[in-house]
Amino acid sequence: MAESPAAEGRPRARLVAALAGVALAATGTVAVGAALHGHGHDTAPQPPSAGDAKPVAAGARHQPVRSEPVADLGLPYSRPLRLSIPSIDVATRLEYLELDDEGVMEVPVDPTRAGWFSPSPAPGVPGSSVIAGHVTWDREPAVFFDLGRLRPGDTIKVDRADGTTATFVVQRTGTFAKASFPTRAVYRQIDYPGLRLITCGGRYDVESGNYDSNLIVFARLAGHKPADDR
Amino acid sequence: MRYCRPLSVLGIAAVLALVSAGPAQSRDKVVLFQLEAMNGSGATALATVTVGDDGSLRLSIEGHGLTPNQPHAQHLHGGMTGSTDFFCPPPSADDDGDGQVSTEEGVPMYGGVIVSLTTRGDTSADSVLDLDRFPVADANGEMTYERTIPADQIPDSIVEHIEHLHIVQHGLDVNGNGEYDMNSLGESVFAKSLGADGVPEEGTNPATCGEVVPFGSVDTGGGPTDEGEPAPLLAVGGVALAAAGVLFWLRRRLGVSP
Repeated sequence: MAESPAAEGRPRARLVAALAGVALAATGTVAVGAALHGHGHDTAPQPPSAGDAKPVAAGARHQPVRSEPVADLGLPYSRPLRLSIPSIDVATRLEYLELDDEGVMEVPVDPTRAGWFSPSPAPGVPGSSVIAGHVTWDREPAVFFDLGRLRPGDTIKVDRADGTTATFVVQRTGTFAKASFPTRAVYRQIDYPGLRLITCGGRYDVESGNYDSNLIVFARLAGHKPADDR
Repeated sequence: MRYCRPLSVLGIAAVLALVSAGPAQSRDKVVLFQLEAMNGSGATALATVTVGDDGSLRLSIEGHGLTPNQPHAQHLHGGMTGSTDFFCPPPSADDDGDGQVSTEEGVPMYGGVIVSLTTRGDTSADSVLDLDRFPVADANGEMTYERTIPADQIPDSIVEHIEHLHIVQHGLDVNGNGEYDMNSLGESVFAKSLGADGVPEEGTNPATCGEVVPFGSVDTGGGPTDEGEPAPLLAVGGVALAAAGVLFWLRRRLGVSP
């Protein structure tokens, strides 16, 4: 099918720079995260493009080209290829996940790889893009073993088929009992490019062979690196 | 043993039970779509699409907040080959700046019409705007749609890829006068492109768009094969910033440690 011809006419996303609010909200967690994990975040996450490195107030536009809120802007459609999370040393190619016959999301076949839930929007376009990965596999740590160490402000990068790298910044993380999985919060349609990373968490029940919770990281597009910068 | 299994019935499954005509056959594939408002329509809907063993599609759609007493064209959109390229358009898809994401602005994102979800007769793209065969919302803006479309009316290639499709419902009353008319948005550019003159843009602009929502949780903890081996622990995330959160984190950590 069409490689989203619409994208050509759509605003190339400049850096979605409404980060200051996220950084402020994160302050409390930053201290905790720094104490526990030894890496703090004392500044707002920096967009990757040099000219845009200065955080701006939430809602402000430094390159106003249209009348929509900056949150509406996103990258043109492109499939995701790789995920990297520098702060926890994750770098993985992405599998593509679909639904099983019961309407439940598949999980990656390879425990060292994460998978994009391919019915969800691609990372970088507006909407809730979902990537899942295992936390453990056969008593060994799997790709998202350290996902629980992520803190607001941490950076998540997705390399895409068009050569761009979309950079997301963690807004919040949470552990949710599987019995009350926050379906709406994870999958709801949002008018900005969001990313949700999901793994298992909480307590492992030996009898059932299950973790009782899902750990979910909510992130938001903060910028991108164009193809020709790579 | 490869995946940890869901522990219990999920909330969304309960919702599904309410809107579904009956329990799905075990061999069928059930896909849930959550339709959310576009263009400030205020409408929402939940759709379950059941793919039968025989390739038929059973649709159950429950809509709320739609323009009362008006027909709402609705379709399965996407690509014929399971393309992952499609998504529900954000407000910024309004390229012409008229405040609305029109059908022609939305189609590049949610894809072309694959199946017209009519109440009777033809379900192909030919029926895209045949408004007298689309369901009508009641006086309260509620709309219920049930139909099983036989396999011979469904392109084979989409049955395998139903989760990559989107459902779009059209028609909204922008100026609040209770009907589709030309006064607020004028004539439908989309309808005109199909050779239909005099159709109000209100009648064709998208009111909801739905993406697939999986049931429940995600089983990403391929468990230890050796029972009795404690699982590695995870920190509870940083939602709670207060000391209580830290204590909980520590307690959880200690509680699960080998």
